[in-house]
Parts: sequence; C-alpha cells; structure tokens
Amino acid sequence: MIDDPMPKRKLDPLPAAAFQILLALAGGDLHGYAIMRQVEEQSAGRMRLGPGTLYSSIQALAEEGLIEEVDPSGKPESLNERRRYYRLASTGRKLARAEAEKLADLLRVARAKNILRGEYV
Amino acid sequence: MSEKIYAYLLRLYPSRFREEYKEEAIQLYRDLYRHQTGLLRRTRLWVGLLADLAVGLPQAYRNTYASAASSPVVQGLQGIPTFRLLEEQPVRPGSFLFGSVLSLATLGTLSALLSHPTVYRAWNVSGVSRSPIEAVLERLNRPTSSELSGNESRQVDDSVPSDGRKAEARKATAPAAEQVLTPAQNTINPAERHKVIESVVKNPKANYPYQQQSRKAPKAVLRNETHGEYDAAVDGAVLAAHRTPDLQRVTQPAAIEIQRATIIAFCPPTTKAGVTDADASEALSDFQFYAERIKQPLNKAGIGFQILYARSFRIRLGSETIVFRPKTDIGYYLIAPGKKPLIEYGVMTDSDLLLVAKRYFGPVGLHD
Repeated sequence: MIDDPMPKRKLDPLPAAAFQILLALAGGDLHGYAIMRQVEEQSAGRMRLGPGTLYSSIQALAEEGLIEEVDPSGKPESLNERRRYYRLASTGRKLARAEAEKLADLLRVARAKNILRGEYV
Repeated sequence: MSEKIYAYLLRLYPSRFREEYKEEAIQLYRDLYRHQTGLLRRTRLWVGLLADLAVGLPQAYRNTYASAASSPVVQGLQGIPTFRLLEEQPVRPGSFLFGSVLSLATLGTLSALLSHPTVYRAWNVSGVSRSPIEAVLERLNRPTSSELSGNESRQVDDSVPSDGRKAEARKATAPAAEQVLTPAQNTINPAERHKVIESVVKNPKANYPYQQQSRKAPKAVLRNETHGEYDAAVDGAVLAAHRTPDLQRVTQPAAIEIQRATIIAFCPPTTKAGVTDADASEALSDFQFYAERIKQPLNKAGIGFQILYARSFRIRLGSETIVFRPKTDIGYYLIAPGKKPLIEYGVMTDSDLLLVAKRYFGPVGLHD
C-alpha cells in the first residue's frame, strides 16, 4: 500500500500563497511577520501577503499537518511580544518538494518549447 | 484608531479563525503600520489590507467549513444528508440583532413600496404563455369599460376559460369594476384631463381601424377641448363618457361595406349614467372581453369582425343599404353576401358566438 503524504482537501491544488509559506519556512522557524517579509523577498516583491491571507493559509497548512507551531522560548522578539513561531513539518517539506518538481517539469517543457530561455533555470 | 478599525474588520472572519489568529493578525498589523510611515504608504497599506480581506475572508471560511465537513462523523456518513452543528460557532447576539434589523428594514421597504400604487403595465406576452395568476391579475387590472370604449387596442386575456363559465369571470371582475368606477377614486384634475386627451390625439391609429376616419379624431377631440366641452368632466369615467361619443361620431364610417362574411358586434355608446352603473359596466366589460377573444379565430377563418358602439348603424350590401336599430343593448349582426342577415342577442361568450357563426356561415375553418 502506498502511503500518500499529499493532502487532498483544502490544499489540493496547493495555492501559491501556501507554497510560498512552505518555502519561507524551509529556511527555518519563523513567526507571521517574518514569514510575510520572507515571502516578499523570495518572490522579489511580486507576492505580498496580508494578515488575512497569511493566517488563513497558515491555518490550512497547520490543520493539514504541513506546518506546526513551535515553542517560542529562546526565540528572539518573543520576550516582549507574544509571537507564535511555525516550523515546516516533514509532510510539508515533501509536499513543497513535490510542488517544486511539478513546476520544474513545467519549466523543462517550457524550455523545450522555446517558451523560456535557459537563463531562468 | 486605525488598529481598532482593523480589529473591527477582523470580526468578519469566522470565530474559530479569530479565536486562533486574531491577536497575531493585530500584531502583524502593528508591525506593518510601524514600518509604513507617511500618508501615501499608509494609504497603500490600507488598500492592501482591504484587498487582503477580500481574498482572505473566503479562504478563512473555506478552511473552517471544509474542516467541519471532513470531521469523522460526517466522513462516516458520506452520501447521506447531514446537518452541521454550530456547537463550535455559536451565533452571536449581535448577529441576532443584525438579522432582526435587516428583516425589519426589508419588511418596511416592502410595505412602503406596496402602499404606493404604480401604473399598471401589461406583460409583454408575445410568444409567452401567462400563468393563471398573471391572467387573473391582468383581468383585475383591466381598464374600466368607459376607458375601453375609446380604446380598442387593449390586451386580451387568453388564459381565462372560454367555455361559458361567465359567472366565474363575472365574479373575478366585479370587485375591480366597482372599485374603478367610483368617481371619488377616479377624480382627475385639468392637467390629467389634458394628458388623457393628448394620449388619444397622439395615437388615433391604434384605436381606430379606419385610417381615414382616425385622422379626423384628433382634430375633433382638440376642438372640443378648446371649446371647454370636457371641463365639466372631473373624473375619468365622466371624461370617457363624454369622449367616446365624440370620437364615435367622427370615426364611425358612414356605412359598413359588406364584401365577405362579417360579424358586427354592437353595443350602445357609454353614457355617464352607464359608467356609474356596476351591472352595465360589467356587461360592457364582458362584451369587450369576449369580442376581443373571438377576433383572431374569425380572422383566421376569413370572417370579418367589427365592434360598433352605436344605437344604430348602416350596412351597405352591393347597391342596397340597410339601417339597423338593435332591439336590445348588446348583440351580434351576422351577414354575408347573398345571405339573409342573422341577429343574435344574449350571446354570452366567445364560444357561444363561434357556435352561432358555424351555424350561420357553415364550417369555414372555425374551431372551438
């Protein structure tokens, strides 16, 4: 029996915002505002998540077990402000990888069809 | 202040979302606000927040209800209709209040709209069959007999049964006739009177089949208005009673030329006394109603049909001219070249008239 780590409900297909959050958390545990900044940075300013989109995506990801909340003790900025930190779970990492591979496949097709030049990948 | 507004906006999110992330969302807002200085940047921040609200709200609700739908209990009952419990999201008292206010406002608006009568407009029924309710409504909204006598181009109800159930038809129309014919409710001022006259003048062709005669009608009506002959008409019924004979005098052809099988439906002109008599107006209303209904089948069968409001009329058949004076008020004059005329009184409905026509003209494509 094949163990399918892919969630089939709310995040199928994976929304762009959720994918960006998974990528942001791949670099380490982050709180909401840091995730937002990281997403903005990694998308070269093309994606700016607002609080509503950010936390509804976080809610969906957390409920699917793709990310998890971590104990903020020892984290910077956590002493004076009650911030919650999130970490990428192993299933989340698998999903992010699968999504990235899917996109990479698409990129290969686009290059083969001369839609994209080689410098993008 | 702006933080309070944002906190208020967050109340739009599902309670489960707010329970979990409200504090964080506000904290995030504070961070953003702190880093966006200047009016332009803060305006941009708010535009972004509103756009985020539009995107984030549906997602938050989808998250909440998608997870509710996939709870173990519901999964176990897939394919069977189930109810969702609001246990986790009890309805807030504010929602009850909002719902009550909204309901009251809706009811208030509806009652205000219903208490302001609007001008009745017939449905555009070309090619579309009306429902029985529409048919009854149209019947109830039909103009008074006095108005109809000057306007033969009204819409005809084709949904009411034509099998002689006149008593039922009378029952349906009686209240409307009584209501409309009350002079006190039909009072018109000089401006309205002029408007009515103007409408007749503007569209004579729609009211009279004879083009040559219809050209005379506007002049006669305008002349009478200038001479103040309508000044005494303080209500619509009286105005119509005055107007109808005027128009009839002008537009009535000198003699009806009979060149083919023809039926002439005749009825005396409306008088002031007649329009205030509920029985008379009801009889006239029925006459007009059934006369309009029978036009089409007769025309299809090649039989001419005319409605006359006159105490007498002349018919020219070849070189012969016949003057006819009806014995009673309403009736039908059937005539064809080479045939002796037949006069029928007491014909109640269009079906009855069809039977009479079949008997007189023979089966010439007439169907019930």
